[in-house]
Amino acid sequence: MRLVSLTGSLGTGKAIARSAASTVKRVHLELGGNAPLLVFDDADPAAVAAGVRQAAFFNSGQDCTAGTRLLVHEDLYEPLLAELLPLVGSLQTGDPADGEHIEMGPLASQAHQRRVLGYLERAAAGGASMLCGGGAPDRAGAFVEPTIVANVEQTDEIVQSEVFGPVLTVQRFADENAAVALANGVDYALAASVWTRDLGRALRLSKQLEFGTVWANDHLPFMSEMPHGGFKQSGYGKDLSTYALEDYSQVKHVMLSLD
Amino acid sequence: MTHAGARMLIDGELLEAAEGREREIVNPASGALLASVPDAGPADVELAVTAAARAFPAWRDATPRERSERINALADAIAEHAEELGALELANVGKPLSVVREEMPVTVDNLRFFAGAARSLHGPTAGEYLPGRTTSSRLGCSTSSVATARRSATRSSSTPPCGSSR
Repeated sequence: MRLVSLTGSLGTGKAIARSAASTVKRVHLELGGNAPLLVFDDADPAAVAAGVRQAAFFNSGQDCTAGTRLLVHEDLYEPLLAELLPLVGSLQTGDPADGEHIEMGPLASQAHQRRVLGYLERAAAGGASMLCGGGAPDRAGAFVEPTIVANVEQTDEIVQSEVFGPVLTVQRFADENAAVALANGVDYALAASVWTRDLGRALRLSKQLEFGTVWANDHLPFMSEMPHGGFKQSGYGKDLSTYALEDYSQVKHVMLSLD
Repeated sequence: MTHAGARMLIDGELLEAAEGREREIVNPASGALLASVPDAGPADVELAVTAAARAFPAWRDATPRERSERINALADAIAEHAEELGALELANVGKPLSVVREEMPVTVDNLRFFAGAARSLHGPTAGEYLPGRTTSSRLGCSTSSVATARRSATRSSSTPPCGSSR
């Protein structure tokens, strides 16, 4: 075996990298994310709210590129939440077997449900406030309510961790530099999005954001032709695209004398 | 709907776990038992890795066209069974129908992308950078370089192709 590729948790990735070091195997790691959505005051709150609903709650937030940290310019904070809260409240949740109208199902297992609820309980105990959701609904199954968490600090566990559930934190910023500092201020660095009508700002921030993917006015789409992979503790190596071909191949130099 | 007799496919055979352990898979929405599946251990991994290592030389030596056709055949099989696979995914991890219907075509497309890419895998540098010598970089595990192709009848090349098993 020459290479070990993992899409999994940070802890498992570190264990594999340590183990692979003993025989110098190549390692290709996709270790999750904690994606910020940076929303500026020139953005349309209704359009952003629709995007955030999808980014944060698609597949109950169980997506390594899910939007998990909503960072909002202070002037747009109230208007955006006024649009977002009813939209999140309108999510059709339930057993996916009930039909096509179900938009959000349970978490993948009861063990994972307990893990996500643990994050929420500790956040609430630490002073965070739940703008919606915050626990398990009154029904059987591994369900967690769509949850938006406010009054959080950058160093809080709920902000720093990959919760991997239908949980979105909200923070305010005053200017671009502060937004970038909050966005980059976590160990994960897989994906981020910028929401603004100012394309210069979108391009400027795409350089300053330390993430493997940066979207502008969008979040989640990917395709076979473009690379997917993180920076920092989100791991290394790319999947999808011709970059992945290089990762999973070996380069050899072959030389012939013409004599 | 319980799926009985689930087994692991290793080296062309459907097997139980070497240590005989099973794991119950529960539908997270309903709590219903979906299946009991083999719970693999190190011995099973060893078996799979050994089988893969044994299979690798033939795969490595296959032409890009052959490898491309195999990967496309896998994509065809997934496309053909997309509805059944999607229903399993829905019951296994609670994904809504909209999610599984989006994911299955993406899975098929990803395989087709790499099936196509296998046929245009090449090193970006080649030239005469030193007097009297020609040189190239080669990406992948093809044995079709000029030097080895001439000797392919005997496979006695002193230069092992990349990705040789040791």
